[in-house]
Amino acid sequence: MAPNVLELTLLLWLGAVVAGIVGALTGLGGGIVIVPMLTLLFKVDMRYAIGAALISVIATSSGAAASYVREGYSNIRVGMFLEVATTAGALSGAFVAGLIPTSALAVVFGLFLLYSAAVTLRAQHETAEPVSPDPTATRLNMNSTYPVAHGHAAYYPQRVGLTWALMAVAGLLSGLLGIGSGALKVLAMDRIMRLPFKVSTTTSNFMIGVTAAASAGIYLSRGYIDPVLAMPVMLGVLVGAFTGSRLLVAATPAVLRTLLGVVIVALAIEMIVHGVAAWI
Amino acid sequence: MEQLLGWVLQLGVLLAAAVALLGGLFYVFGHAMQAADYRVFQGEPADVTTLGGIVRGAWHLNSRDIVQLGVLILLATPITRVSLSALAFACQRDRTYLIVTALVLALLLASLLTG
Repeated sequence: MAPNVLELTLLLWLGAVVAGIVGALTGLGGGIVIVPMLTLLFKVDMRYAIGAALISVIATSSGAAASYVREGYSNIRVGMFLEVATTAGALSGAFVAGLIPTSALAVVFGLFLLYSAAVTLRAQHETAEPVSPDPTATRLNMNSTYPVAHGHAAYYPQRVGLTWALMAVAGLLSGLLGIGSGALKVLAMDRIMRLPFKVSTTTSNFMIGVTAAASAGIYLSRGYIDPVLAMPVMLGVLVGAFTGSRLLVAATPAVLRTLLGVVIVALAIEMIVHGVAAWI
Repeated sequence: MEQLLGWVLQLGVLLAAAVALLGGLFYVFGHAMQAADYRVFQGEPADVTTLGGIVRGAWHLNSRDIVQLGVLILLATPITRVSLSALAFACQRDRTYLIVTALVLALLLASLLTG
């Protein structure tokens, strides 16, 4: 029994608010909540779900960006430099997406979520030691400061080349799956580049919007973006993203990481089951 | 410059939301009790997948096209953001990042045009 338009709109809006808050706080974009919600709860076809996820990612990115830019959390130079790799990767991924059956796509997405969760949970047990400026990052003028409780703290991005290569993979995945693949971005900036957690999430937040916009034209012309699904998703996510961006200042990254890891594992298992069931 | 960027983003997002809300309210009140079945992918008709179709439809106050116009405005915000960043790097005479940003913009436009 399919829901009517009014029910769908209201429920989707509520879910999208949550997606926006989670997306803005974690730098993952709302896609990670929107896709499973649409496919599992509302039995929406994966391609419509991906179209809606694209909207939610851009809405999260732009909705939260205004305050992140003003507060001085996101590092535009790091973001822009890595964005070259991501956009190029996304461009190639989006072309392949139309050739892969949706059930396989769901399984790939699920496995990707499981991997993200594993790395997210493991990351917590490592502690970042203070580092000195990296010559490449210094040459690229990436060293910067970010707001802390009292004033600003300096940080020095590390291993720029390796991070850049990982971003190309992140871009390919996001083009393939129609999500911002923010998890891979946040983790690469957090663990490899060794940026402060909030700088990683807010810079990822900037990047996911640009990456998603790169595949928007393709999804729009293929008919993946349905206005009836897009409207509540977009409005809900924007409200959530505005709220989330204000919560970020007070939020503790450690708690968020754990919570997020658990949620992602649950969703990943559901997605894989869903995809495999459609296959058989 | 950062302040201006933040302000432009906020304005773009609010405009997109207002347009989508307007179209969405029209649609929901017209079709509230209609079944919303998206289990089978059917694609979308040309009026909501092409720029011309969306603008024409929105001009004739077709609710689905008004929502889609809001979606288009939202999609334009990251592109606007990259463009403004390019402008900011040009003002700072930062040649490296002007090239980097221009490259991102070129890739973005290339993917939008090929789609």
